[in-house]
Amino acid sequence: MTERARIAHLLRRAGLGASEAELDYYERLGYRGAVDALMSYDKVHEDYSGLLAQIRGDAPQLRMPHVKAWWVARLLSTRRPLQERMVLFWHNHFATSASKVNRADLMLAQNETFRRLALGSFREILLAVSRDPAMLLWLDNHLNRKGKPNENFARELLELFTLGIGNYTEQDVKEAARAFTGWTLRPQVGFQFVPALHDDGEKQFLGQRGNLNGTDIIDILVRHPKTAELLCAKLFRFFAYEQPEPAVLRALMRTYFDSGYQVGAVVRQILLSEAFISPKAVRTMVKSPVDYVIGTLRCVGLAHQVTRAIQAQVVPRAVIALLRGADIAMQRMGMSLFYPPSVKGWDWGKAWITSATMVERLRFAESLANPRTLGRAVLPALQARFGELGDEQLLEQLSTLLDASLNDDTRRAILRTVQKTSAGSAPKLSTMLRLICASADYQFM
Amino acid sequence: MLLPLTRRAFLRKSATLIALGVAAPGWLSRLAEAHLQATQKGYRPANDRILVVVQLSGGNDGLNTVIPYTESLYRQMRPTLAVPENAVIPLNEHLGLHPSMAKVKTLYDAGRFAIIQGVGYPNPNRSHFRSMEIWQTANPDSVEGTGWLGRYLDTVPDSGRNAIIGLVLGREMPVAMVGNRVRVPCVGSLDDFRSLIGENAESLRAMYSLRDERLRPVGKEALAALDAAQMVAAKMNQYQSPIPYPQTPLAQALQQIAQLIASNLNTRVYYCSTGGFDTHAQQAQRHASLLQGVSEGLTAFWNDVEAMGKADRVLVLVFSEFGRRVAENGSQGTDHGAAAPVFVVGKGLQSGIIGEHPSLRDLQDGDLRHHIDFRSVYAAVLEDWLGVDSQPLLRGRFKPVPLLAVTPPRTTLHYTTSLLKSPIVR
Repeated sequence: MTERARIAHLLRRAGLGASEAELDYYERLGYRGAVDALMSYDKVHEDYSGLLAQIRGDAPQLRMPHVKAWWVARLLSTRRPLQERMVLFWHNHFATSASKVNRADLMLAQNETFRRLALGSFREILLAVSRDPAMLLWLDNHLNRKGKPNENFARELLELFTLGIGNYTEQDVKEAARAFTGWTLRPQVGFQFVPALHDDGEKQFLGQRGNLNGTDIIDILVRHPKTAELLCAKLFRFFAYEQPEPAVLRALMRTYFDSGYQVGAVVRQILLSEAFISPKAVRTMVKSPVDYVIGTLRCVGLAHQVTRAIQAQVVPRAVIALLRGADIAMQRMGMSLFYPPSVKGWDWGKAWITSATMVERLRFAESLANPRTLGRAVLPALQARFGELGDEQLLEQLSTLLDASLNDDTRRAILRTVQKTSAGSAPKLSTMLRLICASADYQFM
Repeated sequence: MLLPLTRRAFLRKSATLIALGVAAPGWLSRLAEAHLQATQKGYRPANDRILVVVQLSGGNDGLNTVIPYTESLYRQMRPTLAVPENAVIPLNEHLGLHPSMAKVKTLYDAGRFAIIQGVGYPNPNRSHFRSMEIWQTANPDSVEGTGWLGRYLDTVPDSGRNAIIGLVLGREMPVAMVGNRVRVPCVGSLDDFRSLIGENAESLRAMYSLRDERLRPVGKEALAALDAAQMVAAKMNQYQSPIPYPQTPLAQALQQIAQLIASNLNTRVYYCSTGGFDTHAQQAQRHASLLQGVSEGLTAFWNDVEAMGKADRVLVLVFSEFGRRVAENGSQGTDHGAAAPVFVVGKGLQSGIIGEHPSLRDLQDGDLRHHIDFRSVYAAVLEDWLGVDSQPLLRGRFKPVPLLAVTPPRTTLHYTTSLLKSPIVR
């Protein structure tokens, strides 16, 4: 594998796709330098302060479509792709849905919390999430009170956020619920601890006894080996591949503890590991709808339009339509941002591909290649750049542009279709673009 | 059952519904021709019964669905959530339905609705995800990659040749419908198939017929969509439902299922789901509207099936991953529980209420105890409705609950032991 190929892999997994421009930029830094640059995103200046207001326009109230378009705009235009990828990781890990929270401002605030703590300490992230207003509403902890606890948050905290199923008892769930009584919300203020609603009695949780409160529970959980295992394995799965080898996982867990629960340290170790750039990892992961839609749009240069609009402080209607369109496409592919199907988040990997979602990916490919829809903003530039090329060269160039690696069978099938296409109908370039994006090969990253 | 179609009639039918926009390509009529020939040769499915499964995700509060309204403990343990006695729709002197289920009561009165009480499994798991997996795989003991319906579909003769032997209305694949051999398509909405018909289809088909092992599963999903779209295009008729359906996603899914049933697609199992039942807080209103949605959706669907004259062929099974805690929590909601009722809609039901309501005096960790294993419900569906031996499909012998008045003779079993022993791959 060449250095450029390794960095392309890094950008597919730890960034938001390997567009030509990004690949050129990071290649100059070398692989390790690229990892450093992706991780130290604080050094990259970005200003999105006016964006939400522009998207919202004169709407009297902030609503979810604004917040969704806002995140899509950031995903499309960011120069801190690892930070956004971590926001996605936490959004999936602490999967909170606007369908129940029903407050766009709180969903936005949670998203910003994930962004702020993206590679920070897992203890801090857990504490922030346990006090996050959207989470309090989502898992009903704002109603969890002494004497009549509500188990919803406590159960998912143990089952999904930290230990994993099978590593605690039903009694542990009940005791943890008692510890989080009184962690509630005050309108206009946000999180508030109300001592009168808190159960001060003795609790026994995972073998520890005492007047435990929510922070104590989190402290017990972050230092539990099962938490380390669940988090490290999930991060590894998110970046590399399904099953980390036991030795790889053990090493990550050691880093988790040695670093004082620093997520950044674990992520860095994954990205610098041999496992990460092994054949087992490269181009074996099914693209999520974000990878498919955002990655494609960043590669074909649509991101620039969004960036320019944001820099000019004016987001034209066409760009807002693009943001909405991208969001709806992802939604139809099974991933509606801010609306995960359950507190467990989305099923990743092969589960992204069903006959129904393949139809949606096909549709997206068609609209990208259609001069009357998404293609309007894409095709002219491509035509100007590649219009003169012969079939095989054109396929080569488009594949490079899209960072697509096509199998010989696929390449032959595409060329055959293009050769059959009569001169007058859909131009070859748009047929090729459509077929590359629709191909089985292009569903992998 | 299948009317021979002339080429012209066939084109007219597919064109009106699918809005082809271009002349039907050669493969479309070839496909219809091949199907016609197969039918004339005497190809018939082993039987023509259809199962529709409705999943209620989140854990439906069974105790507030089928209510022991005379039980004093019910009111004691549910001080804010107990449905007032005079609001309950009585089924008998002890049990009643939630007030928002008036529509279902009409089905019940017509002998078309059965409640199977106290359904669950030993050592109930209170995780949504694990419990749902248990219900879908019919295996509480270990994690498994196939579901009870997928394994059933594996046994259907010629299942491999029918692109829509089973169908999921929705974009996610429930493990219940995953088999070892069959590949069941998912579809968000039948309109989605439109883009797969026409001149594109052939070149896509070529592109997705892949040899590469990594790519093949993706290609197969795309091919499954193309095949299903072809089949629907070839067979969808112009049935117009006389029944108004509510505008809920569940009702819309059921309406599409009815449309497909009316089109004689030979689909054996349809699967759809609806969520929102995880009512930890301020449950009363939310639960009422959820139940109303289920009640109205099911009733519209069933009336539709009756109207098209297919009531003898359709059975609906409605389940949730668990019931909810008997005692309400401090937030006018209920936490995760255990046993709950299962519902069946169909003709020829033995009785409206099967089994006893679980006792409120004999709880297990605050939850209702099950006295009917969910696999006994599945056994009744598999054996007495679908006519197959349930033992290999359920990994054990479960006595079918007395669901149907007349049970069909057992048909020859079409699976082989080697198939059922084959490694479980998800």
